[in-house]
Amino acid sequence: MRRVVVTGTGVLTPVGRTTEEFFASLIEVRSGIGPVEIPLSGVSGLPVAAQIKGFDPSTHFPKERLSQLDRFSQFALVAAREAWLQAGSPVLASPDSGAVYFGTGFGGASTLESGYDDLFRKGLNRVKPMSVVAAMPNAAAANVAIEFRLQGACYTYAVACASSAVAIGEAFRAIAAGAADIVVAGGAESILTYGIMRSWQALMALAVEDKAAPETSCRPFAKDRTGLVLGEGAGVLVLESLEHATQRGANPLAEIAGYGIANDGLNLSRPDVEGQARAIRIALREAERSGVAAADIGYINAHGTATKVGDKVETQSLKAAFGTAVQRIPVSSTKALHGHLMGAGGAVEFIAALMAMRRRILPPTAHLRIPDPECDLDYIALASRRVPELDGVMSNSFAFGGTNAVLIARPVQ
Amino acid sequence: MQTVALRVQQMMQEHFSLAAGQVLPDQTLADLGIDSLGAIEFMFLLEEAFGVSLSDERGELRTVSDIVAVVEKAATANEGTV
Repeated sequence: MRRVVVTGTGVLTPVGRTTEEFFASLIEVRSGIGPVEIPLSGVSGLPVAAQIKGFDPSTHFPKERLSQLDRFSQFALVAAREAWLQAGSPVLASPDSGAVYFGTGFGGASTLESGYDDLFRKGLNRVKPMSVVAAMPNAAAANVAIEFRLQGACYTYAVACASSAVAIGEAFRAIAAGAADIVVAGGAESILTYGIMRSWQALMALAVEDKAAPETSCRPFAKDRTGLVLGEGAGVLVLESLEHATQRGANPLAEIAGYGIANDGLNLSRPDVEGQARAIRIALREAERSGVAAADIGYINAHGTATKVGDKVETQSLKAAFGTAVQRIPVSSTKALHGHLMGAGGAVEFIAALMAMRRRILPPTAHLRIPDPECDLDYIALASRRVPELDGVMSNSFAFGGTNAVLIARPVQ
Repeated sequence: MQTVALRVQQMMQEHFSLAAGQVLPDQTLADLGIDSLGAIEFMFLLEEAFGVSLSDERGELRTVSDIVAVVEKAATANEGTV
């Protein structure tokens, strides 16, 4: 099997529009959560959200292309450009050696919703002509492939909150097996639409707004946690075989060491300790074969959505998979700051873990002032932490539908 | 009063960010860098601007004058019904 390295990362998040800005916000504990702004008047009672405010697509795309780009595709392209640039704008020996592995939960949700608005509320009898190509779930991946002329596979994984973690993991496997030399992998999500926010409210999964300090409403692993906060954005990585990166003189930022995936097969929304622990064990076994032992994992970016049951179950899963050794592993959920980016979450959080490894500084779990006896690991409460060395990092993504995806990375040696 | 042709050409120039004088009747859409999705979208704008409904049976739209012709036809049909 070939070794697989990361040569570029890019993000567009509520707390930063570049990888550097994003990671600085995590370390300096800046929250992107607050009141949400949507273009509908007279609507009240919307949840707090982690929204990318003031994003002007016309500064990124020509006017005539915009109607084809749903907001989630715009996010994908902006993040992909950053990653591609950092990778040194690779020139491919053959265009079909490059592929796109992408993830999204809801695809072009804003396009669908504005089409329904035209039909049902405004009473029009037609929708915008680009509705189909903008809304289709594979639109972001297709646009990324067009952007860099990648003519190999172009996949979109719809695995809810694990979508982009699965995309990265599957891309890792494809490169390792020789099916592609270079892959743009990640995910994008834009779900802060009226209908989708109301749907999440109906599911009773969202955090109660802290009126005095809305930016602290998402409190993973804390006793006073009340639920998740929806977010939006994109995270993208350029992955390639070590050999490909070396040949073209690229600078590898990290190596992917393991990927574990396991489905609960039990329930659409209730997380399961055994399913999550299985995914973690599979990833650890794979990492061990490439020289990263469980004891080398020095940071875990948890799924940590801040729901009552989710955080408790993840704590139990980590204990089940690592045993008592887990007590010495720092774990944090950065969702307290950037919210739940759904299909983009896995990629964005994996990038946070890679940055932690490169900078040897661990992002905290913000707003964790009141510990929960049922969540009793080292969650790096409130403030970031410097560490002397970091030989491996793990990122967890556990999805509605029951899919659990775990990624492990190590420094390049 | 502007002719349909002139208005279509002006809108085309604006929508596709083309230089003045670049849009000529015999010019093909391909020459102007307009792909099929771009053309469909432009027809949608024309329907709004001229208050017409462009027939689905409009045949191939290859050149600027093909587009002008379908708009003119729809505009005339509209007048007939008013």
